[in-house]
Amino acid sequence: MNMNIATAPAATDASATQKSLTDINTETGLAEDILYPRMEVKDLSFFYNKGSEPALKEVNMPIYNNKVTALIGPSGCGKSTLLRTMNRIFDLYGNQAAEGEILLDNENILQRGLDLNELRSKVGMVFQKPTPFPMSIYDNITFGLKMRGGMSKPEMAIRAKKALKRAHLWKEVKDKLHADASSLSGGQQQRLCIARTIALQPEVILMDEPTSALDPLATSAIEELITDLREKYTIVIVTHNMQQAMRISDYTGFMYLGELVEFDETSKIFNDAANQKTRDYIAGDFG
Amino acid sequence: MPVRKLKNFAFIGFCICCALFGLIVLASVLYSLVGQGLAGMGQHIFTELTPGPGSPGGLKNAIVGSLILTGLGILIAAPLGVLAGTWLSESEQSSKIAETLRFLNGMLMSAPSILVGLFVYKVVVVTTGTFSGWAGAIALAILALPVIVSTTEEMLRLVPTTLKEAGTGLGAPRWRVITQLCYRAAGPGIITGILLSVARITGETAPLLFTALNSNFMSTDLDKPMANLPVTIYQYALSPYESWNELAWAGALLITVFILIINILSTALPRWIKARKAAK
Amino acid sequence: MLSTTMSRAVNSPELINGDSIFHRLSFTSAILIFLVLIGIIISLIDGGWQALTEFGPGFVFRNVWDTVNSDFGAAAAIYGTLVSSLIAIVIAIPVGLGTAIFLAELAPGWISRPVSMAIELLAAVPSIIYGMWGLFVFAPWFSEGFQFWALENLVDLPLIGPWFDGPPIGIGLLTAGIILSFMILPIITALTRDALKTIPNVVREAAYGVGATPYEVITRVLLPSIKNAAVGAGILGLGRALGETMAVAFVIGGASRIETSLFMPASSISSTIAQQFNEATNEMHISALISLGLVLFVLTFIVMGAARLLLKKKS
Repeated sequence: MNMNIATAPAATDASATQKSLTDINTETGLAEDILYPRMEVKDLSFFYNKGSEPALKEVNMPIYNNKVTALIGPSGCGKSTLLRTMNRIFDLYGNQAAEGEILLDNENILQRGLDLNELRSKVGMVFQKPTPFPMSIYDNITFGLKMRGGMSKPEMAIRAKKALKRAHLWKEVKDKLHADASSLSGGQQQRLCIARTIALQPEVILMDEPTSALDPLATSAIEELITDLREKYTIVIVTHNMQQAMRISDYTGFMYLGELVEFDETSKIFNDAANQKTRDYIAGDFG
Repeated sequence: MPVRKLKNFAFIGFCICCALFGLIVLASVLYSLVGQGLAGMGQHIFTELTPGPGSPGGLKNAIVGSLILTGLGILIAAPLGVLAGTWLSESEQSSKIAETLRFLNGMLMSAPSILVGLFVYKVVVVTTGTFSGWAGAIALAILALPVIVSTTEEMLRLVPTTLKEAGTGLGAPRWRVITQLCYRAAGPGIITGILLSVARITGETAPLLFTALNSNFMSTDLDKPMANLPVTIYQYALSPYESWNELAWAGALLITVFILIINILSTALPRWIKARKAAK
Repeated sequence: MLSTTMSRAVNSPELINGDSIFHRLSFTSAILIFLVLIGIIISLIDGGWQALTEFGPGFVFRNVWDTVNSDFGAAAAIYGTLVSSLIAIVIAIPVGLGTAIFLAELAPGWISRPVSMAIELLAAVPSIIYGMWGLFVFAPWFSEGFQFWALENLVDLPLIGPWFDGPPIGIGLLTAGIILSFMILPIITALTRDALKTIPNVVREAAYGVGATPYEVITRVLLPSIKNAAVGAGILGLGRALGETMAVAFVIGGASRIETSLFMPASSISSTIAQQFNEATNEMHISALISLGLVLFVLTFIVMGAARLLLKKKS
């Protein structure tokens, strides 16, 4: 375990990130290599039933632009819950409620009256199990575009091809775009779901244990894809696999019992965590 | 020990006899249905109108009328039933209104069909002043509705929440998630429900007695009484004329075969759709 | 690349309206279920009002059905309905249970699958065909094969003897009950078979493991655990039998009398309505028939409500 941690890749630019952690620049329109938080979680609490025990307790956390942020922790710690507040998918269920703020480009996405469909096309989500829609591969990719509207058919076709290429799926499916999506393998389906999300060119992509239902080969394909996507997208990934967090993320948040125990650069969390609980978890003492 | 064994053998014997009993009844019903029905079957059944007492004829107008009434009934019930089932499936588990409506739907499903006939008689026939095809179709629609509602709800509840979340996650509004994803995923099951309701209303006689009534003419006018197979069978079977009895058996065979085909389709269709998808 | 503002909820009318239109449409459709049921109740009360006010609540107990003098009471029709349905479940419950046990516990797959399908086929046959078959095939056989024998051998039995003291004409209350039992047999079989199948195999293994015979395992372990479902299935069958019209109308005989003999022609609520409604010209007659309908509605509502509650408790 420790051996692995020692060989983990260091954060790309340690001094720059350190600096910006303390000096957060929230101006818009900056060049991509400058670090600033795309999203900010502020004092977020979450309730599965109004009035019940909170599943998240005053979580504060930045999500940096064009970085991969991993959320780790034992099951039931609230990492998926946190993810599901970031595009307000929890709104599907009437009795769940979030308190606090989540800023996306300085706008609070938890505010009332927000256009949720617009939000969700900006903050895409990929789920634990592949969720191909019961339609053709092509229709899967263009589904979100059709929902948003305002795009001509040829534009959509170009966008779909781009998305499939970005998701490393184009070569495999280019000859059977009109086959049913369920005919793909599990790993291909998951990459299809990622392609479907990036076809909308979101700003942030949320991934909820995207490889937990896949075999090792498909998993490494997805991991490679995530590393690649970082150039253009901001990614938040929930994972129960610490090796994976280490391999692909730049920042890591460790959660326990609904609280964000520690948040830092991934190398810091895995090599030299400040909190004893984090160190125990990393060492495999619980969870 | 022998007493235990004896009891056991007697019990097993009883169970086997019970199963045999059901099979014998079925065999006897099918035997007389096919035997008597085929005896009266022929081209004339489909080409000639229902005859007067003692004279030869067919069932053409009754067949056409039944197809119209059933088709129209389903056409009314299917969209309403699917929408109502959708609302129930989308309602929250704790919703009192949904709970009540679900209960009422169950009651409607088990309400004696003759009472639906009386209701439509009071509401449509008395109001318009005439027995009519419309009245018959509405009565059949009321019988089909609860079946479609409950199967639609059941099928939609089987759609995995992840599919809905994925659709919502791509920015699709709720109604498009339902119409474009959930209906697609639950489609085969919903179609099965609709087909089962077709099978249910095809043989219904009681609700047509006071609504569509019957007619000896070939008519597609929905504002007038309309010929239909079940009522024709009822009247002809209870008549003293042998030629009418023969027509009744032929009609009974037709209805049963039709219902059988619908039943087989309702189980085969979803599988066929799945297989076709897989082949693609 | 950074966002334009997202709080344009209010100025995105197309999407918002789509959701609310769809919600309203589907809610209205759901409410329709309620309206139809209320409509049925109101139309039955309204249509039967004349008879109910004329004869008062005693309508249900009066044993008279005189169309000439417009004097009506529901007792005979209620009696016919209840007795024929009772006969039906007395036959169908043991036979249905036995069949279900055979299918779920005793028969190997290659027998139980086709037999299950055959029993389901029995359920698909429309009721009018049971009526025809009952009148043309079953009644003559029943007259010769059972009724004559019963007249010679059963009439002198104490208590139940008088039931069989009547004309051996094949049709009547008993025939109606038997035909009804054939109709509800598939429902009872299917529901109890499904309930038996939900019992996990470990229960069977544990019971057989202590050396019990199939009889003991089934009657002492399996049946008690599906008690609710079996009772629910029986009541559901009863509810079906109460409201069944066509199968009964063919074979019950159509006499509005209460007789001790089960061989005598009788009438049920639904068969009375089916046979007389279109011929009734006098308003009081029509109203009395609709009142009968109301009584039937209340009967089935109680029975079906009970069945639903029981089946729900189980799950």
